Amino acid sequence: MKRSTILTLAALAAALLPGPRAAAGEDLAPKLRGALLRVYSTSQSWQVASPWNKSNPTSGVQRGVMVRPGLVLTPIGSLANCIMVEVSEANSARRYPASLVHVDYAANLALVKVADESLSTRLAPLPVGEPITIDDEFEIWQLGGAELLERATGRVQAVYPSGPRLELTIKTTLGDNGDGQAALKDGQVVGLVTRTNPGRQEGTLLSIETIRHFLADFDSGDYRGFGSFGFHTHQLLRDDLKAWYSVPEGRHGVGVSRVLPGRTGDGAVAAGDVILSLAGYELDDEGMFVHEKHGRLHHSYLLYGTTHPGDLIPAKILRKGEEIEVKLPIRGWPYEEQRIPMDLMDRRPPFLVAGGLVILELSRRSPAGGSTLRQYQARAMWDPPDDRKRIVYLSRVLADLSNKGLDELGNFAILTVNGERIRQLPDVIEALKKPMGGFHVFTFEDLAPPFVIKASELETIDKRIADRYKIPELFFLE
Amino acid sequence: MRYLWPCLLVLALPGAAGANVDLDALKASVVQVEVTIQGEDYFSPWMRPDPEGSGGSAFFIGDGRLMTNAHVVSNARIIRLKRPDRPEKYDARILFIAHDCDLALLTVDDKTFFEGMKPLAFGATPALRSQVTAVGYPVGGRKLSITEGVVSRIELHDYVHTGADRHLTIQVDAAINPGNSGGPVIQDDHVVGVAFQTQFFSQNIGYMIPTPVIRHFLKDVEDGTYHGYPLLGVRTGNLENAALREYLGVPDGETGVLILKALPFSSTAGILERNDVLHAVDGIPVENDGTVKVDGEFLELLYVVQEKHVGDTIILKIRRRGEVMDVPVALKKWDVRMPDGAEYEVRPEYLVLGGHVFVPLSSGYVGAAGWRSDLGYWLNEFYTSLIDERPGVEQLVVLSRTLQHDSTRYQNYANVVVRTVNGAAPKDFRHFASLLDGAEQAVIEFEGVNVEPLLLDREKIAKVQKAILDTYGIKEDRYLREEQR
Repeated sequence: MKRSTILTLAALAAALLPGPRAAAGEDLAPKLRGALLRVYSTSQSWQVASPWNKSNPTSGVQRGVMVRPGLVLTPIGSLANCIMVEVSEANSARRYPASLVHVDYAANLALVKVADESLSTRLAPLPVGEPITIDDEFEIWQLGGAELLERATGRVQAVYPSGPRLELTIKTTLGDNGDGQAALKDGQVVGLVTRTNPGRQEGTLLSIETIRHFLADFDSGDYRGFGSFGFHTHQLLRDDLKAWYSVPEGRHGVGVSRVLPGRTGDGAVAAGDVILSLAGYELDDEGMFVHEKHGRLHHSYLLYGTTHPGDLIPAKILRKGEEIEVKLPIRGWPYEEQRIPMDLMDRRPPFLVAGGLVILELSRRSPAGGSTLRQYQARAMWDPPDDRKRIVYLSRVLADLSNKGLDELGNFAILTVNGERIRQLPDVIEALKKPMGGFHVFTFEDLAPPFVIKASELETIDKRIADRYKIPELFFLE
Repeated sequence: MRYLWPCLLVLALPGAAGANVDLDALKASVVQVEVTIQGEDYFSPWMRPDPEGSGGSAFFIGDGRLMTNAHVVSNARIIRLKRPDRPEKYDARILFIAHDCDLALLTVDDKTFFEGMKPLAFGATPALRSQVTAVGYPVGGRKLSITEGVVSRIELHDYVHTGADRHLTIQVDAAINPGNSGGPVIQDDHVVGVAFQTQFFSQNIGYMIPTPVIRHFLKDVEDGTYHGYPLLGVRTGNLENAALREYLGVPDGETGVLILKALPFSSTAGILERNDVLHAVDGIPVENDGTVKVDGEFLELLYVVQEKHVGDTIILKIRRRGEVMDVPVALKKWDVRMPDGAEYEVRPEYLVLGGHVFVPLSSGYVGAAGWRSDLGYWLNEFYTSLIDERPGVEQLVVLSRTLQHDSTRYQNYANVVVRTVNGAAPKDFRHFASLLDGAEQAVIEFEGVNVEPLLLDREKIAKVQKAILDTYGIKEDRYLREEQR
């Protein structure tokens, strides 16, 4: 092939390659370059098993889109436990300092503030668009390395609630590193990519409904977040279950099997009720309602995806054959109320080292062994609260002269210390002020011998252990 | 210890015979075992899995009897023995089988089989580092294999045939290959063990059943019945920690272990209490680490009990709330309906009602359901804690699955522990069946998270029961064992 032919083909290809253009033909490139950014993060969590140590720092890069002046919207991605954030523009590798100003792990969204004023003023936010739904098409302008934008397309395949989030399954030509890429339609943001599978050309888009909820709450200055799970329901597709719930012929809804104390719905619905409608939407026997835009959606979206903690939503329920109207309370489930916290993001785990016992509060992420602790973790989401604020457990024993023979104990839920029931970690510290007959005695929920320390020796033992294992502080309480 | 596996083994070491072995006697006494086995299908217990071939080794011990491993002949439909010096195979049958110690005795009704055979005699426990010779029919050939190893460890070890038993075991530093389970291990012309299992992910670790265990088995069957090992049934904690001993009031110089629990239905149920200190068993002091000194070796406390038989009495010296006392304990087997180990030659129970398959929880079913189901948790925890929380309940019932049919549409239960039937907790599987049969209103509630209640309309079930059984090829709607107690 002649050199001139090659050059001609190259020129032709360049002319045909799509540039960033809006549907109406407007050149979008300047706008997009000024709104789509890379978000670099350095994260470092505390070691859960040895919480006096921090883990090795990790770094990550994801994408974000400016939706408010100086504020970049991005999924959580690698921003969990973040200690440093930077951003870079679409057409440059130069990084600018930034800070994480707001995170909602349930919504999988974060806002990053650009610290550099010159950059902040040079950029311009993109408008937030209208919801898209099944079969709608959109485009994604993917940030290349240090260069500009490659265009990918996408089409919505399904819409479904996932926790409080409304998510969309998409078919897309987007490649790897899709996390945080903005889906655009007519130059407006209509979603954020949170997962891609280039091999199958599939991905997940966080809906603009969830993004709007998050942003509106943030803009209000009083972020309340989303409603949280509170009760279990049964589909009523089976005649025997309909009979069990005394649902008359022609009526439809879902049966309530259990309501968790203090959580969403408690006080308004009870086990044995049938929920016929929520927020004015009739439910069918699968618990689905017909959404104006998306068609059939699971009713959990009405409970958790469109509400704030503290809201009351109207509901029609069938109770012992009688139809009544109730105001169903929506409640959050903050960390402070979780007996077994779902995660420890951005938190240092509280701990206590006493006599070599490494004592922690159980979270769902704790690397706990032992069947009792694992059962607690499995039930973390729905475990009804008891008088304990947290499950305090013996993680392991740091071997010392004083604990010979007991240093293989570990992964036991602590029942009492010196006869005092343990309801949270500070209780252990209080109980250690009152030894029993000259001993500190720990008992466990599991089948295990008591752990005994001579009270008069505890201080010496602790000093020895702190020195031997290089533990800078023997406890941390929230 | 799930990585241990019962297999057909050979103890293979290079080198000339160093353990004084009469090769001619071995050739005349160690035979190949060919077995057709057929296990049980715990998932579809009305069906029987395909028969399959298996094999191992056995050796003549006199009086028309041959010894092999229980796992060689478990669930056997046909057993055939082949002598190394004859082309014929002889039909054999089981005289006694002891799953708990993985030993069995076989015999052959055709007396010509025994002509010219020399019985092998049993010897003592071999010393550490002494050489032994393993004999059997491992893979890799058809002829008798004779190899050597060295005794590298003597201690109590898990016997994986049931997965729930633990006995004295001798470890040999020999490479182990499938093929000679049940073969004798020889030293000075005497059998000092039966090769029986090996260990995954390791080299030169093979195990044999030593003669104390073999003799226990042979003595047990002297009255024509195998009774099995008694179970002391205690969970203990060590008392190595000085502060703990002082807190419990154990005087200096005295040793023992702390009783954490006496298992229900075991020999010590109702006799020992939590926080008792066990000082001695039959006069043998219990060390603070839970061992007892036997013939100069420190072995697990369990060993003392394992030398006893069901019906024997042992004396436990205990300290209870400061008072030292001798407590006689009549030893018995662990009389439970839901054993935690594998069962053999036992047909699994089931009951199918309206397309729902109910089974008793068992080790076999947990294996079939997959250990990832939480049924393994229920099995492990039952005798540790649940049995105390549910007085009278001796067996858990599981709704295994729902067979799909017009009448069971939208019902897809899997591995749900049944909590109540019409408000009553089933005490065991037979009781569960009686609750169903005697129910006037058919309501079943289920243990578990967010599991929909199941309502069984007896009139409707009566109409579809036969059709469902026919569709799925189930001849009988149930199999219940005879009442054992």
